[in-house]
Amino acid sequence: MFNTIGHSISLLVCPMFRTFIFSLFIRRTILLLLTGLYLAGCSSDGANSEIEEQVIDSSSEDNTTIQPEVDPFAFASGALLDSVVEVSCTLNDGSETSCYEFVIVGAPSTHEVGSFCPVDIFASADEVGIWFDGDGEVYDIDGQFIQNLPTLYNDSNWQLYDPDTGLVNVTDTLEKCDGAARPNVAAELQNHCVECSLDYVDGGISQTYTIPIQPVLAESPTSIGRDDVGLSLNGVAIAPPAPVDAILGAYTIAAFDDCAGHINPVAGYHYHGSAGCSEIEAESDGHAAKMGYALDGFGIYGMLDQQGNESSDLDQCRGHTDDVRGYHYHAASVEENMFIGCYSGKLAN
Amino acid sequence: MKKFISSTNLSSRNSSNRSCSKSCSKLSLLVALLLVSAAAVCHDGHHNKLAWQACDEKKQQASCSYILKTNRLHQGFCREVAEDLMCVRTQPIRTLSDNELSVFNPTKGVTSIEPSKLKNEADTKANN
Repeated sequence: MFNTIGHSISLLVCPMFRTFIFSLFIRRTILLLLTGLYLAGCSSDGANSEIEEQVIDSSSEDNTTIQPEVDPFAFASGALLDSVVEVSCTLNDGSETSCYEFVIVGAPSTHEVGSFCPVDIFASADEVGIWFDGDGEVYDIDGQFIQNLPTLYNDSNWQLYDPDTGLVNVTDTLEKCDGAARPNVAAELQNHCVECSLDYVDGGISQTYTIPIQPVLAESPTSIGRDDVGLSLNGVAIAPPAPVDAILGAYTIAAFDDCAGHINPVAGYHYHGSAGCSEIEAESDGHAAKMGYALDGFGIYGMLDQQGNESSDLDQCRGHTDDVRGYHYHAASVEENMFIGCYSGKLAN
Repeated sequence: MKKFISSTNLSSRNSSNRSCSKSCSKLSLLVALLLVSAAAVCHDGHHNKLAWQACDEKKQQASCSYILKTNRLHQGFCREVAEDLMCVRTQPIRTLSDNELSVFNPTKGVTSIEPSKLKNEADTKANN
């Protein structure tokens, strides 16, 4: 209770939310009053418990399942750069609806950006980040990992460190970081552990996402392309899978921090896997915590529930439906280098 | 989807405690970098070797499975993700027993054997 009040107060005093909250409050209050009056006139049994659901489901095409709207209050303090704005939008089936425009900060508001590359071959696991290579493993990029690269990838051309000094080749300038984070990596930047600083992008690259307020299931799924898949509740882009094959092909390791995020000069900090760092919206029924929203407006939750179990009824997009959350996704594990398999819902154009 | 990179907001956000020359220099560099499209910066190539190989010569929505080095079985369906046809896992990860593993190539890696067949063959082998 106190946490709820405190959260509400903190939102109210935050200028970013003030305008939005006021307009949303007025809109919802009127809707609730009107709906309540209507229901009071035609139903006397359980009308109050129906009000919220009736309002939430008012724009849904699928009335068989209650589908919660996108919750702008689920975002962590400091995750959004600007006020959430409600705009008219057109979905990819041509229908008109309302969307929220979220402007994320582009840097995690709930955790520090962690370490990436080791300084030398003596670095321990707690000093460095992680790497997943498409073989389903997650490695700590410690000194041993760096030394073991020729064996791991069965290629003697791997030489990420100076054998005389033990120092690891790290892209420690903007120019090097930019040069190594693109196709056709120059020879002098091959055999480098690639890391970039948030300072290179002035602390983060904000991005705007337009998401249907009321998500609607599509007749058939939409494939995930090379654009972001969604946004996390702590203000970070949820990126498509990292192209680990090409990264390894250039004899580079594009190091992730322990939250499975890394930085490049174009996208800034972004997640390539769900490591639990953005699962901040706890569920009271033992369900996995919410970590963000996909572009179609459906929530993305952690892979495991609070008992450590994973759902066995996920569809091809890694989504399913329950009575509390309606349709929603569950992120894959970090080593799978993806969050969801496709979009089940309609996307805003 | 309307999507843009707001360098203006970023530059104004921190302008109060930065010198003009430093900001201008960084902004110029940032703008130059932003001119490079995201597609150009992204590398090509597959995104998950085993998940990719598991859907080799399969079509979208076909069932698929693969086994990791650590004997963990992934089962799901082939979906196009970032322009690759990949095996998207839809079932909980299961660690295979030795009996189940013996049905497969002992070098592990990719398998196209259906999970139901896997269990039946493992059971048969165990009974024999």
